[in-house]
Amino acid sequence: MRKRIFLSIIFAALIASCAKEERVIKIGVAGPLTGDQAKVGQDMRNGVLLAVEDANSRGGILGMKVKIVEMDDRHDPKEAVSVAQKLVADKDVVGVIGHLNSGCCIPASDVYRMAGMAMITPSATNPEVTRRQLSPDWGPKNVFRVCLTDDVQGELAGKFAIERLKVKTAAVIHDKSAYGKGIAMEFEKAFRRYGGKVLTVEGITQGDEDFSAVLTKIKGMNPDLIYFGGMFREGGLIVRQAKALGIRAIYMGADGLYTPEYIRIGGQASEGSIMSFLAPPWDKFESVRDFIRRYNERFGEIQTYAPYAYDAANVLMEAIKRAGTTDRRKVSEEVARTKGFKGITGTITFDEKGDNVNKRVYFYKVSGGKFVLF
Amino acid sequence: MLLQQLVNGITLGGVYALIALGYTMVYGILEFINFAHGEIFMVGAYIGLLSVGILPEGSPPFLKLLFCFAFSCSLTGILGVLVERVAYRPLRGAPRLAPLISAIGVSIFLQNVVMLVAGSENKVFPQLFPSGGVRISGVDISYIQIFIISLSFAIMIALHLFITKTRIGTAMRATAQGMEVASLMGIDVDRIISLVFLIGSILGAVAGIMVGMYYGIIKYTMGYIAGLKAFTAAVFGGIGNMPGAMVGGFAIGILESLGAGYISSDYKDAFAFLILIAVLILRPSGIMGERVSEKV
Repeated sequence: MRKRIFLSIIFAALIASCAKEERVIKIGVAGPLTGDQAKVGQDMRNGVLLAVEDANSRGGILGMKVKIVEMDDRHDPKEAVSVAQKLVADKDVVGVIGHLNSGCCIPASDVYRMAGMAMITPSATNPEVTRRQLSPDWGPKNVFRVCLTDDVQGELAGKFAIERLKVKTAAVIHDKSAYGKGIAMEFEKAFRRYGGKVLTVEGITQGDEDFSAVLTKIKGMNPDLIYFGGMFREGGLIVRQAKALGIRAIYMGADGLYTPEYIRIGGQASEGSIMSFLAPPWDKFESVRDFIRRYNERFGEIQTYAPYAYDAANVLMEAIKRAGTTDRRKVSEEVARTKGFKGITGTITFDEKGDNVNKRVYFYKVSGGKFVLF
Repeated sequence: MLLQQLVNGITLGGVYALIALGYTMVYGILEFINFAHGEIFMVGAYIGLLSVGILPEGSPPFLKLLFCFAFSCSLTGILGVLVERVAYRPLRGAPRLAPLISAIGVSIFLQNVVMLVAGSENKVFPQLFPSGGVRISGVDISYIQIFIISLSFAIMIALHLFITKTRIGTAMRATAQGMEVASLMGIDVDRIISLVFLIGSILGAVAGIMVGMYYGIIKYTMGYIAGLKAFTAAVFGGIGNMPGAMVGGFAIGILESLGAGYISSDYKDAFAFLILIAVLILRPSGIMGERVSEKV
């Protein structure tokens, strides 16, 4: 008797779940939604959310509503692989926007590759992220990015340091992550090539608070410039401790520092530091202005990559529309064919590597607690 | 540069030593490692942050500082006593593993409570100190460093006098030597244990606020690594031995700074733990281990 009741409950539940199901298109969003980098991870998620809501207000894609599936990778490469597997296992997920960090993109992209699922990162800048799929055993391309790469960013930063800042010696610090170390190495190469001298390259640990030992060592070398490859938390702590130690070198970083969080953590010490980013100031950026206004009303201040996440999501949804199906492999093929897509951050065209051909870098300086164009 | 690294190391060491004292005092009496102590330190920092927000905007920095320490120390001290009452006292007669696991549970609980209440992102700790410093023969010492070093020394001296010169201190030492005999001599052992947790947690709170002011940010996971390093310091000096914990704290801080400065900053965290392994192999009772029979 009891068994029969049990079975009928299960049966009823099955029927209910079938009846409820309405076909939706799911888009994965994967990035650090909690922890140290939560602010920038949520920023990316918010950008995708706005894009999806816009699409739904226009009636969805292929007659279906679009839904996002959020995944938290806590900027941990191991976690990235496991959330990638979860996304792949969900049959309704057509493509992924993410991950935020290069170190997460690289291992996760292997998982997406097996499923033929497209992954578009709005923010991971390490060249390896897309370069890996050029190898002959990779199969069809599935990894794309709308931002620029560190070889471009590091190269231009090295040139900028020599030619515009007129410095001769530099100390390089990185956080040992794929992004931080990658861009630091690119900077080092370029800085040397343009005639500068790199006095030392030091690695630090993400999550650490005390950098006084390594900064004391650098202080003894008296460099003109300290270049930091890494994210805003460590970047902000380092600039603070460098000032406290009486280091007067110019402090320079990359897009990992281009977020208001960096200024909040670095405080007064962050004044005068310099960083590179791929977009002009948001308020001078005509096509983004409307997005920024809506974003501010809804979520507050923009952190770093939200507009790029918005574009990445639209590139994916356009590809689904063009493909006319939710078949993952067909969608990936269509994403690869993206050409001249008019996004809010500019025109997006993917080259043979899956990178956006648009390659410009702007340099900013912190002044009065704000980022101003250098 | 060597002197500068030493100053960095001593500042760090002062913080480690204060936390290490909390570990070692509890071990001295109960012979168990209070793994929740790192979290007590973290909670101390968060309560300190909270207290700065309570005072009206324009209050003088000195008053803010004093209130921050007083408020955080008293609340964190009470928390420490509560933790002992709720999580450790009922397990006093139980096998040794039971309170240890209970401590890990408390640690996870406190971390998650703070994460849910305060959020998982980095919190900026307000600067209560002028940012400048003094320069003595090429060594830059910031005011906050001077403050941390002198306060940690003052607290340690006061604690030492308290333990060796007062009646309660004597009772604490007696309890450490033998709980049953001490209770036969008319010492209220439960009260002494509560007192030990109170003092240990207050020291933890002081260290937490110091770290918040020194680095400028705090986070709910900050107790983990700091606790582990302080625990290393306590083992290094000989766990259960109070002067050992102080020496161990400074030794770990200095060795870490010198290691990161002269050998490689990539392996900064590894140095403390390498030392732990070396001590455990060569001298399992710690560098001041011969005095372990005294315990507290």
